[in-house]
Amino acid sequence: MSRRRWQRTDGLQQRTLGQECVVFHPGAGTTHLLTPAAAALMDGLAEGVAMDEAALARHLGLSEEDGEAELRRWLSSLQSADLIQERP
Amino acid sequence: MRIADLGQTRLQCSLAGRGLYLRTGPFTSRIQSPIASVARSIESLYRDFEVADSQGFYDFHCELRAPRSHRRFYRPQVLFLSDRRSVFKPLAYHQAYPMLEWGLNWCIANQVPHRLVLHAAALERDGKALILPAPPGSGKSTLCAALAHHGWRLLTDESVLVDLATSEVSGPARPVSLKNDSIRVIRDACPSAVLSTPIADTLKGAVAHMRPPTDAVRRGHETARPGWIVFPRYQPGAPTRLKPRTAGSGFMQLIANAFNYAALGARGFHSAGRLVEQSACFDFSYSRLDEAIEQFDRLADGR
Amino acid sequence: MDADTALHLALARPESMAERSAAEWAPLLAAARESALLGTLWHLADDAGLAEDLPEPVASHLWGAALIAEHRSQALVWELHRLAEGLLSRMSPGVALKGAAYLAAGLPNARGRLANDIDLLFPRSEVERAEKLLFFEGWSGTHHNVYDQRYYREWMHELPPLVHQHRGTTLDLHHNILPETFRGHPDPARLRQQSQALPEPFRFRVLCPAHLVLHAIVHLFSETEWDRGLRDLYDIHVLLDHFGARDGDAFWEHFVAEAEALNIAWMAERALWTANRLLLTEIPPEPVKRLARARAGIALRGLGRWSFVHGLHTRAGSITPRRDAVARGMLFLRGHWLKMPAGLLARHLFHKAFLAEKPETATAQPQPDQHG
Repeated sequence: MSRRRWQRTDGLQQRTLGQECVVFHPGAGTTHLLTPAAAALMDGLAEGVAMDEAALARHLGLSEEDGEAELRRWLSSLQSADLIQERP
Repeated sequence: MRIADLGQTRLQCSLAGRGLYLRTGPFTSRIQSPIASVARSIESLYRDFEVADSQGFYDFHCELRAPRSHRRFYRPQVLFLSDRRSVFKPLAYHQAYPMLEWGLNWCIANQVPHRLVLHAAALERDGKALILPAPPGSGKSTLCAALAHHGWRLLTDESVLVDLATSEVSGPARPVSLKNDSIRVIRDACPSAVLSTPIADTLKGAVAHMRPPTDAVRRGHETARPGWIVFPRYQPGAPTRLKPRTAGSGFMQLIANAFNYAALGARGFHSAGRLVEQSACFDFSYSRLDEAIEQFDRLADGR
Repeated sequence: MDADTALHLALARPESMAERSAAEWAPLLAAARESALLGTLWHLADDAGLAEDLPEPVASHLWGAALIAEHRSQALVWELHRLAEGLLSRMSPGVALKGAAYLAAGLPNARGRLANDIDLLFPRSEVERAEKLLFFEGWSGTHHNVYDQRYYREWMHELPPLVHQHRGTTLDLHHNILPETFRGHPDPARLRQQSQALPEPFRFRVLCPAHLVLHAIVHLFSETEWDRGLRDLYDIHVLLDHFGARDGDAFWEHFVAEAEALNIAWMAERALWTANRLLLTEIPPEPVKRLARARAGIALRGLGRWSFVHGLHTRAGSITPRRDAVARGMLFLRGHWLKMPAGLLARHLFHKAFLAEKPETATAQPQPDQHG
């Protein structure tokens, strides 16, 4: 698994609604409904702290081999919504 | 003082002069119009509403009059002006009163920055609000008018006001707009309802307005706690069906029906969030009004 | 007191808001709403310690508007960061203008101000490169017909506006602060040379204080539409007040010198007079004296001043609507006359009147049943 590091966008507003989670991005003015998996991923990312993909996979209980593609998919959809950013 | 106490002559004088200061829920509207049909409709449909001090504050300034053009002599039209600016395309003169209602809705949607404003109907029972957000054509107003005569207190049929801090729900309790077939449906289902004479050929077909029940008007200042958010859909022949919806998708659907959610930013988000957290969300499809009323009775009683 | 006068006074002397009766407040709010100044009034009342004493519904309208402005500002700042971190970082930093500049520089008129677009200034030779880079980040043009493209690219000081395809934000790329064809053409290199870096983390620059005010002046006093004019005049008022208090004579000295160097002393003269007349802006005698040379002849002076005062009235709050309409008509013609030489102007107005497709937005009004 790659060592790419990810960080949650600053200033996001988040609310848990039952099993789901909604996030508001004050800069972009967008609102997103997150699936439980994406919500769990966001929960793993504290503000101001970058995490690498291996650590995120562990947080989500994904296995090294099978989990990679799934994790990538979630990360890419969160990234395109500006909810997370890649950090060098 | 209420509209009924004002009397026809004084009502017409204030409308044609400095304006009628009409109190609807939390708002005061200053309405000016020399048009007789506007005065007649206000006299009948707003009978129980309070008249505010004409030396006092008003939230919205509305004017209905003919455009100042030669056209007024051969095909008269009417304009709606808010703060002295025309905000809609003109309509045929006989549609002046429905235009006032649409204009007042426009004012709430565009000039209320301190509350989250939802495009929805709302009613109250035992202190709890039932919110019915829906696009036109979904049978929202029909349902709202029927429930308002069957044990629910009318809050609004068009613009729900949500407090930004507490998410308490209120509405202006103004007349309910009914279209085409729903005019007959409500006449049949609610014999005590007072409806205006339908106006044909508007952009929506025939339109009539229902006078809000007296109790709803008198209690117009009372807010309600969040209770239920139900997305109604009228489908000819469909069975009555109330189906739970997840809070997350209810939230997304609710904000899609808000007028000023985007403008309010994080405050709007949290206000809508609190509202959804404290409410139960459902989808509701129906074709029979009597069954729908029973269904909402059961919902209120927790059955 | 009529609503326009009450609004001018509220902006000039916020403590005057304490004297407004409920009956005076309603049209005052309408006038402020029309001028996009509701949020500004909230902050002025709050600073004057009046927020608690305002009638409840008045406070609600003002507070709500300030809230909306705050959210809009937050979004605009975020957009600026996005732009700076993106492909524009390959170019030398652009200069943020107007609302974006006031916000980024933390100027006092930014609070409560409803910022709309982002305006950035680049050298003429680089502005189209910026446009191309931005295309890859989702910004695309709005004016597609050949005439509009030519109108902007040959004669204007900015490119056709860009709109972000997801967020709907509007971005204007400028290479000058006045059209190429404007009478008395300022040298944009002068603006860029004296521009100042913004504090971290902003990568953009802002105009120096004198240019910042002069740009606000140019923006209003070259306009054809004076609809939101009072907001622009308030910007001028606050900026003069702020820099005058901070830098004293040095600011005024530089302000007059730059107005002359940029060939816009005549606009500055009219702006100082109008700001002082309507918003009681305090202007030291020296700049007034030096700019007097740029005054119009006695006959035109009176007419010009009359049209500025009436053009700045609101529709909601004015007690002289007919005169205001005449003034708006005069300002419209004046704006076009200044913008283009006569031949080009005739061609442009002819095109707009007879050949252009009528726009769907801007003047178009909704059908009322969307609210029923």
